[in-house]
Amino acid sequence: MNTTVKSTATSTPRSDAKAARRRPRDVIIGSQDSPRIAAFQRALHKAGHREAIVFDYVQYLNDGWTLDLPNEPALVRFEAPGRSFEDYKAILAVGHDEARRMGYEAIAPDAIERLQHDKGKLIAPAQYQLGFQLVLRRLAAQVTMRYCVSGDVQLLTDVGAIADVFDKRRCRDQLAKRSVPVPRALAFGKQLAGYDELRALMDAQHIPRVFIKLRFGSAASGIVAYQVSRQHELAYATVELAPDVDGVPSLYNTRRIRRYRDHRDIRPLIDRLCRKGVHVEAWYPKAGFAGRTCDLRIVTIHREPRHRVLRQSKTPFTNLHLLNQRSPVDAFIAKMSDEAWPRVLETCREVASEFQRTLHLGIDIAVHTNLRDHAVLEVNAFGDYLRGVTDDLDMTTHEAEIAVIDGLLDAGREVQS
Amino acid sequence: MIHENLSTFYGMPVEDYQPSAGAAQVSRTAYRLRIDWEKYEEGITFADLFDQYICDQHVTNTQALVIGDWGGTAEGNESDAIVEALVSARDKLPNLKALFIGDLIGEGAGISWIMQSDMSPIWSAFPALEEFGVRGGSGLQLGRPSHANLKKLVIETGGLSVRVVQEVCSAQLPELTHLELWLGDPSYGADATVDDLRPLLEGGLFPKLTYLGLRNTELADDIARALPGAGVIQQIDTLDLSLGTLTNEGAEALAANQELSRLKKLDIHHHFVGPEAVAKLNGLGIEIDASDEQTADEYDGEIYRYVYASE
Repeated sequence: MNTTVKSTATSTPRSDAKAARRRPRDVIIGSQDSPRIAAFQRALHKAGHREAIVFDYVQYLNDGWTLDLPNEPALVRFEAPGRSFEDYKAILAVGHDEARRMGYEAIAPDAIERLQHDKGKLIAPAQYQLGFQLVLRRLAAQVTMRYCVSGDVQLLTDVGAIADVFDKRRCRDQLAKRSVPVPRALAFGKQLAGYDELRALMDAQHIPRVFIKLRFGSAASGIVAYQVSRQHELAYATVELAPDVDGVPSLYNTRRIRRYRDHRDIRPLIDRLCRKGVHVEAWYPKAGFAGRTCDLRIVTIHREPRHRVLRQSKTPFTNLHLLNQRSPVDAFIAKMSDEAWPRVLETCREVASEFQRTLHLGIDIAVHTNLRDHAVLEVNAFGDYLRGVTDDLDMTTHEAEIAVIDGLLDAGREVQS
Repeated sequence: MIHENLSTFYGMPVEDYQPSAGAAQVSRTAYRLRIDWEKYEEGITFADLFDQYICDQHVTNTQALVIGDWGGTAEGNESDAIVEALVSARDKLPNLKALFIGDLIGEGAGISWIMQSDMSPIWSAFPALEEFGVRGGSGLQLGRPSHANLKKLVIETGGLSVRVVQEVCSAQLPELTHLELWLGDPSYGADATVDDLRPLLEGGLFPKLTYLGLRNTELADDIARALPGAGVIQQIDTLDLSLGTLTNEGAEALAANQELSRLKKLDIHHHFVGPEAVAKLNGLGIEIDASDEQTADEYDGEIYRYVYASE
């Protein structure tokens, strides 16, 4: 048995009283029991700071949309909302009017009340995201109001940037305007009607292989990788069509990737997905590594790329599995051509500059099969929760974020860039 | 699904040929010619790229050449123009020892989406050829291969037609040591049965054969059961049944076949064999690669086992 125990989990709080004195109180708005918040609290503790005060989005809604900020200087951080069905419904209800106004599937608040939990079922993702953005805007307005009065609270994340990156279509277009490499988008009007329009546009615009994503989806939810040739068509999907409790065909997320070759299966799937609101872009051919298709998740903090992980899959969908050891990432980078990796880092800085009023971003980057080019696939506002991943300074993402803020405060600078 | 392009070929590193960089490394490098989708959209054709390569001052030293995406491959453009271009450039490629046509991966065009064509003009055009590989079984034909120097023939498909299997069986390849057939999935055109493979299994078709790969196949169990008494086992060192749908049943048949203990290696990686049956295989006392065990999918009460690359 080991007699000496090397502790990595516990740590002595920093005895640097200055840091503890100078750092305003951290305030996190998220989900009370989220492991993300627990991880952030541990990082605060390790840096010798006080525990953050946590507010829950749903509690905020239940409290009549009032945020009871502490009566002291504060740094406000937004985290992802809770994932329980009750939390989902609460935010969904907020998005009803806006979803209806924008022409997306909208479920009325009384119908939301009656919704039964149905695991994996895609329920009005646009309405949910629009609801969440509205909640964020209200919260930000309250923080800003307090700032105008007392000047002692600061937002670490710009809610406008969160809204931009959660809208996949807008995010991609914004980056393209800035000349950040992104996959080509399939151009269409406000919304894509369905399978027939998709096929016609793919032909007309010469994009035979596409990724169809929920415009306001998150992670791997509701994605179809679809390709056509003169002889075949094929769809890989993270969603499937199945009857719900009432026997109505509905879309369900599935962890087991489905493969469809028959247009009789593909058409209804795509038709239904389009009704949820989609963004369609060219299928960027991703380089492989160790018998898997892969891409990179890179976390920028204060515009600087700091943490990286390799995401790998045997399917076209790399956002399901990530490898958090350093060696595969470094081996993959070594496989790229010499100038390719510095250019990836430059792209990350460029993306972070586009959303610069945000402390951290998780940027998903695919490296082309030619191992020279790359493209930004997605930008994640809450993409910094990477368990067990440290940067070159041996810091976790949260530790690095805290240290960056401390550095800015020590230098007497505004936290928000 | 295949996830990575060739990184080595004919013992050389594979590099994309860039006209701006030239082909100066041609004696140490297998250049890959490919038109990826972005170039295709810009209107750059394979013919342009190939012409540039062929006009390079070093081209006659080419030993190994890899053909990747020839432009619009995923949309169904066939390889006949590629074969034609290669054959008409034969005088510029007198030392061509190794040729691979169709280095595309699932992220570019699935193996069954690659529209191949008749490869038969290759055999007489390149007499120095020692290794030939092709990926994609759709539209593939070999004619009646006859070649005095070919040592290695690799046919990777998601579904190989019985016709091509027969063409292989009719081939005159006296120097062939390595024969690798990816037979694939019946849904993608694999219509050969184990009976169609009997001429190969009987042995003697290729007197110098040391490696037989019947890979990526749903026939893996059938082949395992057909092996007792197969003459080819007396001939080869390595039997490769990898990437297929071998199950316990096939593994038990292999383990019970003592003739296999004369082999150096049996490769079954990517299989559906449980640890107990794998342990029995180890009883053969030869090198066994039983890595990458797969789990069958169950859907609507049906069991599905997939080969490594079909689509």
